Amino acid sequence: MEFLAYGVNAFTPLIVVVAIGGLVIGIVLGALPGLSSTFSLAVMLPVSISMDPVDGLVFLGTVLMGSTYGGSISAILINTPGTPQSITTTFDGFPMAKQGDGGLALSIACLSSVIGGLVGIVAFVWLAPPLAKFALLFGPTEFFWLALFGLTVIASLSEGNLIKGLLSGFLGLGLSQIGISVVSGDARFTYESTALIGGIPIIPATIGLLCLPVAINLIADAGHHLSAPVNARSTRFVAAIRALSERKINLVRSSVIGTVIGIIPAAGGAIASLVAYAEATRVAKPEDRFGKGDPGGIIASESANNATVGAGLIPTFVLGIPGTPPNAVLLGAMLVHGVSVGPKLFTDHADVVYTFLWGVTFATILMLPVGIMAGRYIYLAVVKMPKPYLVPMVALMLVIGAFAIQNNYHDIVIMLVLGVLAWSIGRFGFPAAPIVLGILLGPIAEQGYAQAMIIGKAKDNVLGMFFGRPISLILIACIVAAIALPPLLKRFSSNRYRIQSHAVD
Amino acid sequence: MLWISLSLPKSRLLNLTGSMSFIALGIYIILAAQKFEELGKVTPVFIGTGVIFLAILLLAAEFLIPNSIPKTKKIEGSLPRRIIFVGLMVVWVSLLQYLGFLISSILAFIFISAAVPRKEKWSLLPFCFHAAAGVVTTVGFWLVLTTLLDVPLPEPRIF
Repeated sequence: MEFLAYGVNAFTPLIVVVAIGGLVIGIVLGALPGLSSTFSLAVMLPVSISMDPVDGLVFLGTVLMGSTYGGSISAILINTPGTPQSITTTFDGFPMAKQGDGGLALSIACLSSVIGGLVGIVAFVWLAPPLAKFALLFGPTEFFWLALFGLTVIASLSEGNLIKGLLSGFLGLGLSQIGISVVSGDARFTYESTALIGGIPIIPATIGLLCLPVAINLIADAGHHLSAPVNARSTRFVAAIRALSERKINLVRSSVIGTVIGIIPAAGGAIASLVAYAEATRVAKPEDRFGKGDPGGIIASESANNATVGAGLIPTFVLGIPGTPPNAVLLGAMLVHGVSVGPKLFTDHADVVYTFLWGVTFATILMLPVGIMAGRYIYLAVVKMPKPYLVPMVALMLVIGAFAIQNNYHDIVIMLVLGVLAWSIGRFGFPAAPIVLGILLGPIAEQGYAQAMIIGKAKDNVLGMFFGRPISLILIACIVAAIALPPLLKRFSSNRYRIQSHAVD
Repeated sequence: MLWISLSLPKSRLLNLTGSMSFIALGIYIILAAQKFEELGKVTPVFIGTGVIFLAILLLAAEFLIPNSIPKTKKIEGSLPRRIIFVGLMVVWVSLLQYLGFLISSILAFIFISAAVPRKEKWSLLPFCFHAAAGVVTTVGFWLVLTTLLDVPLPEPRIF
């Protein structure tokens, strides 16, 4: 109830201006490939410090919200996830844009982001203390199983051939081994190169693997990048609402997944959208076209990654543990403003926290008109842009995106090499998306496995460590279901189809 | 082996070569992992074994289950233009260290723009227009990144 009482304080003209400004800046920065939410928050941190604590935190919160959604714009229009959270948005968003449904895809992404974002904030307001305790139950074993669960999505990304999809996934896992090992300190597969000591960075790798092949194909013919539908100027908002209402369960499930994963420290939006996407494909109907332009894929990805924004604040605010890098920046901003986090935050600084939450809630709702309009104009620009301008423009954004996150020249080289590799093996039916997943999840799985092994050996109970913890068992059951259910359901549905065909005959 | 290779259709030959390459990669990963610490070699050995197992599975599927492996995709559009684009990217990235971001990117923008195929006949005016737009865009990005966002882009080293 205290939360509701502070609502009046939140709607001052200044906070409204700050929220709109933060949202627009976040969307623009998030839409630029490579400029992640962490980057957006980090560059805006000095601006926020010059503001009043509440205004400054609302500003950063809205930048985070906007950049998380903004990542979907470039993911849909040029197959480049602006942020790692939007990797799964490319799987269906870009095919939809290629088919002339880019406007619809952007509207679906915006609506899903808003709903997911609101679910995350509601979870924060009503469930913060119990959820924070749940977050602490996640240990290395759970992270190991969670990463393996994320890898099961490869099965649904392997259009054409599952073995080739799995081989791509293993190639990604192999690439994740390059650099100093987090478990043993070995310099693995670095060939005495200083450029490889730090490993393969995820953002340049993602840009190279997913976007450079698109740029290489763009230059091959004189046709347009995206087909321009007759109603290109329309946002197709009504069609987007219809798409969401037809997939209500997917929307709710993905938002809840995003919320649950968001509160687990170190998991973050990329894992959340991956697990939500895996779940959506696991229960897909035979007529669904995941990976080929199904709105359900965008709904799963965007609602889950935006739900992590609000949910990620739970461990940050309640426990003082920033679950993700953007949350660490937010935590830093709070400390600079003299707001100490922890269990007493809600009593000592109730005015700041609740007004901040109202500001972020308002910004999330505001994201609907702002996000839809931004998406519409960017979509029209990309559809109409002549190729002699579009191709070098995309190439320029790839180079900037690969470089900007670490200011490292070698990251551009890595992006280029992986992009050419992805285009070459893509010709032979090896998809690039599982390689990205392998690079993303490899270190999480390895670190979880090694730490669980060490703890298990110390306790003289390795098996119990891996298979004796309740959350681990739930995750193992999910992995088994993710692998076994799709072929069983396929067989069941084809049998049913056969029986129906016989009945008609 | 050579006789088998020569008598195979091209798509099967490519899949065979691909599988053999992956087997070689898996063996290399396992062998290279032997010099790592005990804890550090567990994952690479697992990955190497997985790659070999899947590559053998791919090989078996290719020869035992007819048409189970989709054929290699035919390249649509111009391959030479793709090669030129990749070449220009390589030159751009190489020059970035010496000419800096601004100069190398403006040059790359103009050359890549010139390499894009056009529906209409090539003429100087549209080319100049796109080149000018490229200069404005690159300078715009450079200004925003270096002044507003404080991202230090590569500086020229030869001047």
